[in-house]
Amino acid sequence: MTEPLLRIDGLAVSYRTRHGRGLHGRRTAVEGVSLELGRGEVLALVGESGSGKTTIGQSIIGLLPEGGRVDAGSIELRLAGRPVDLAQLPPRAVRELRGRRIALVSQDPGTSLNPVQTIGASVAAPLRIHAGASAGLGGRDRIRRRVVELLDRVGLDDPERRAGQYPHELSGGMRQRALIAAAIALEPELIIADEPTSALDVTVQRRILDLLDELRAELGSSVLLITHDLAVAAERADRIAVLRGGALEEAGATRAVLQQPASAYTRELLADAPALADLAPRPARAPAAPLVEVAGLVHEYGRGADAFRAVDAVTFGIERGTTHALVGESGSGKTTIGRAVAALHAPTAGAIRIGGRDVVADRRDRGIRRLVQLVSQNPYASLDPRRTIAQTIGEPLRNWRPEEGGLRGTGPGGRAELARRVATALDQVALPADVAGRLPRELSGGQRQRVAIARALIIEPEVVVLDEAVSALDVTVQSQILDLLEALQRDLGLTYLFITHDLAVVRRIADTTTVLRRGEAVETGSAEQVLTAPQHDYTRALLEAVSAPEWLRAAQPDRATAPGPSVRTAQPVRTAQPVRTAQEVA
Amino acid sequence: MSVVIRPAPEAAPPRWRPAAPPTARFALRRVGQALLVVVATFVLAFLLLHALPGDAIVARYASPELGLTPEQLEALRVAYGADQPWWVQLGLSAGGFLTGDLGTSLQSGAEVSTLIAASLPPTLALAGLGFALAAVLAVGIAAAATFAGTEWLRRAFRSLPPLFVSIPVFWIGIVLLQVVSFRLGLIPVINASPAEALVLPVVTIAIPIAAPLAQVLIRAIDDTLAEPFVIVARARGAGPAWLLGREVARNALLPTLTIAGVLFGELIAGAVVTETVFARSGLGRLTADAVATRDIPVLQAVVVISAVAFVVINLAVDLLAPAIDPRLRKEVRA
Amino acid sequence: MSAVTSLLLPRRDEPAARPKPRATLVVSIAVLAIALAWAFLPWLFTSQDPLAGVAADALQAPSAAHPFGNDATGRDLLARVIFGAGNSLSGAAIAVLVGLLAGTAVGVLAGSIGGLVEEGLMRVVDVLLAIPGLLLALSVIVLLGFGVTNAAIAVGVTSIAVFARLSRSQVVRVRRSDYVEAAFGSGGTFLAVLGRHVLPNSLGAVLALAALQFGSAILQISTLGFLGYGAPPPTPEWGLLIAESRDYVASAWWLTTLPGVVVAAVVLAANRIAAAIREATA
Repeated sequence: MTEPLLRIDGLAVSYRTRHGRGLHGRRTAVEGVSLELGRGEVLALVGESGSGKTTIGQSIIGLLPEGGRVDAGSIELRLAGRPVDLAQLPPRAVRELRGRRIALVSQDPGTSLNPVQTIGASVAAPLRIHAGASAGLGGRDRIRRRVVELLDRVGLDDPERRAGQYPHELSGGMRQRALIAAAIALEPELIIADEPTSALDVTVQRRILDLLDELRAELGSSVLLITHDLAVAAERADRIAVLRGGALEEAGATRAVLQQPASAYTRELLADAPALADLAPRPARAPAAPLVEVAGLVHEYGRGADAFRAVDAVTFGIERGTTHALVGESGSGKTTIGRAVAALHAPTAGAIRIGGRDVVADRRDRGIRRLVQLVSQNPYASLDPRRTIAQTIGEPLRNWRPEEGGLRGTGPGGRAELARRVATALDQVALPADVAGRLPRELSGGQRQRVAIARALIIEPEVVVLDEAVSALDVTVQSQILDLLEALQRDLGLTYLFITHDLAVVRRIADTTTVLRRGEAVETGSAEQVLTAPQHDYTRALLEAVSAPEWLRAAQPDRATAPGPSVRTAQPVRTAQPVRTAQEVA
Repeated sequence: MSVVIRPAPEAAPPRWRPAAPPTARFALRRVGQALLVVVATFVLAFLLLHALPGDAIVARYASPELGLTPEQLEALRVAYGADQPWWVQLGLSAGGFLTGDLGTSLQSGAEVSTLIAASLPPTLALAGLGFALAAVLAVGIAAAATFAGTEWLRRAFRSLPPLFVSIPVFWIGIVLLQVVSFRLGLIPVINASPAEALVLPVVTIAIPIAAPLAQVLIRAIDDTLAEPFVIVARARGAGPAWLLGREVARNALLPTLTIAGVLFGELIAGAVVTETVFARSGLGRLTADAVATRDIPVLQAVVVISAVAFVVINLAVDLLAPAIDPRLRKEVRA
Repeated sequence: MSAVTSLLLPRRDEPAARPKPRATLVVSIAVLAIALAWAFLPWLFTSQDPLAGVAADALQAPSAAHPFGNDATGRDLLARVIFGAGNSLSGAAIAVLVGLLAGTAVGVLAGSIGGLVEEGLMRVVDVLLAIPGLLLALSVIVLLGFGVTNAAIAVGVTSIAVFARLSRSQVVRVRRSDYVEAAFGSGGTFLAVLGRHVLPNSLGAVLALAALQFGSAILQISTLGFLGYGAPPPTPEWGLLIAESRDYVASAWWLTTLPGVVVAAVVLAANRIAAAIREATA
């Protein structure tokens, strides 16, 4: 192989910690990482949140957040034969390279475009910044023409009009295309794509990755693809580097690494990757009358001419003890349906019955709460930051009198009983007993979601609505929570309405499913039927979006035998770690 | 499996983008709200100032040293309409305000509108220049607090706004007078030219305005600099000048504009204090005197006019905002 | 006036990367403690009479015997500042109480009930905000008459709107949170959820504002005192002290400068403590 474009050697990066100010107040984010990226090659950096993959990308482009610095190692970029060490270069010189030789495609197209600038102005920015002396009087027109050309190249229709529009007038996928146009404007040698599709709807993700692939081939650039998704890495990268806790687990040619992983951690990642999950075998059962019946559900926001129909005549049923998945992209109305089933708001029309009880009519009756509970997406927002875990889990019991299954008004005698039932609930969701006295901020995301589940279950509801309950979590944690949910369903006979955008998750836990698009149910049936023989084009598009190469599927180790840290038990409690929000998953 | 399987209903295609209210309707609604606030303020000011024990006439003229007989007092009350029930007075007063008749000063007997017209120009000059100076100061402080060379210097500039709002305005005026005029003798106290006489009052009134303005600017710049699109701009090779001029300035302008109304209130307060300290005539002095002599009609006029100005300023900001932030332009597009 | 001060509060999401130095907090607490001690036990700090002067000492510059010098009638300025603390600080406390109680009541009611009640209450708040703070205070003073307590109440009235707005926005923010929805969803009643979640999570910011308003109220009361609407002479009150000394700016710099420095120091200290409360409760 010829000299690589980029060679990282022994890179170490640390951040200033929140409280310390001296030399010792630093937290290591990346330690001793060495990587190579050849010309025209795609290298995938794979890892979960906190693995340091984003930090490596930021170090290369010289944009570490405040308080971050490169402590050791070199980042050599070989442009025209002579290598330069980006870690040693003065800031002004690095700035010269940014946008021209190294470009960034970032995670969230929603916030990566200046909201008060037109798309054209944003795309023109790198051209103007690096125009230098060549920007004469004719430069203006030349830049305009080039912007339109670029927008056209990234597949935006009517590029002249798009150039004059503002970011909020474009969809997420279109914005990401515009950002890619700006990134390739000066034909950089290196493109750093940091989770370029994580914020996009699944059906859009594939098209954006295809576009990146095409442009890379056309320009001969190298791509550093930062992703949490093994399937994406497997499909797009020539070589792959697996990171964990700031250190390199293993690196090599993609197929070699994934087919014969040397590290136990890589095997665990592979085992837990939802995209690779097989259709879970569900116990066969005799047909019965559904416990949950949703019929002709309509939900409109707004009134009169402004009314917007978020849910349009959706009908489905769920048998007792089974899981029904509502699948759809953003704006499909799935959350609206879930909240109606959880009796949190009234639909515009239609009926919802649980065990024969009219949920719509009774939604103001507190009694309905003992029938159906909701677990929401963000475990960071759903727990009161000032209350201990025991207080949070025990709260539902304090809302109900003993004859209703609670402990309200039982006085001091009830306190011991409350503590006992909280301890049982913690045990049920596999959390250690000593979590009880802690505050939410001392817990990891997965642990918090377990607490939210325990709170929902403590008053023994029959139906649980899980609204994207695992979407904010890393894959290994996600897998653990899904296992927990399955076990609870088996033991307690729970009925789940599982709301998700991810068909891969459906594959793992659903008995039946409804696919939603723009408020309409395009397909309803058993999960097996919908996933193996989809009837609707939209379902097929969703399925394709979560597909993984066949060789990778074959390479997946069996989940039950996957080694690594005991997957079924909760992780140790993290305490000193500063709290990060789910959005920081990087 | 007894899942109800049915084909997706072939209903009318969903309306994907909800129709947004047109700008004109938003503007009308906003103007309506503003009018409501003005009317409510007028009523409140009237009730507040007429809730005096007895009434304004008694409060003003009943003191023994004036030696007025009860008959004379009663005549005065009739002359000022104070013998009418309060709601009749409210109606008369409102009618007067609508026709530009702000009543008569209890103190001097002059038309309130004449008094205000006479005192407005010097105050406008003071407040206008003060505001201009404050804006320059605030932008300077905010820019230095964000881009000054060393961390130490940036911190120093950041601590200026909290310091400025902690100092009594009248004290700033007196100390300025003491240092500039008496110690250094730069500006004569007596026989100063009109321009010279303006310098210290303008500086005095500018400081309490500059402080919150700088604070909001610094915060808005900080917020914008933390936005992902700024990182993206830096990833394109943008330097500080580009960032400040192209990415930050316009985004930081809007939060700054929203405190315009608050700053107007500060200007009024500043005018009262500054004009008292420097013994200048103007609206502030008129107000202070009206309070001292319980001259209710004058005070009421000043309060209502200020409230109208406040409401108009906020209305203007709201209607101007869409020009700065395209996201606020909710127009129905063809 | 008071609306401005709320701009100084750090927000919940203020980056913690730049923590304010601890030392300034310690100094601030010390400054406020001294001021409070002056207010409660002034005679411990000075043996001089704040009201009766010695004619021979008139307009003496600061010295060891009279650290702040003497005023035109020979009274010890430091003694007047120390005895003035009681008037100024108790006034500020009254002002904060008026604003805090009335404003928070309005804000919490509006935020937790919502609907037409909220709409109506917040329009009243809009009206209060539309009148510039000083003018509102002056109107209240004209209504109530001059004096330290009345000036304090007037200043308190001007801060009702700010307290109402902040507490309402906090209540609304907490009410919209997932954990409040979960609390209702688990069968919690309105009052139980209000007491367990909404109030504890809303009041941190309100308390911080109260501390900030304390500083701001000291300033405003001194302004009213300076304009002559507060305490009548010869009562020692900080604003009035400065007003009385205006005639001597040319000859006796200490008469205006030193009381002003004391006022600024106390206000700065209150603001710093407010910021610390905000950080601790965020």
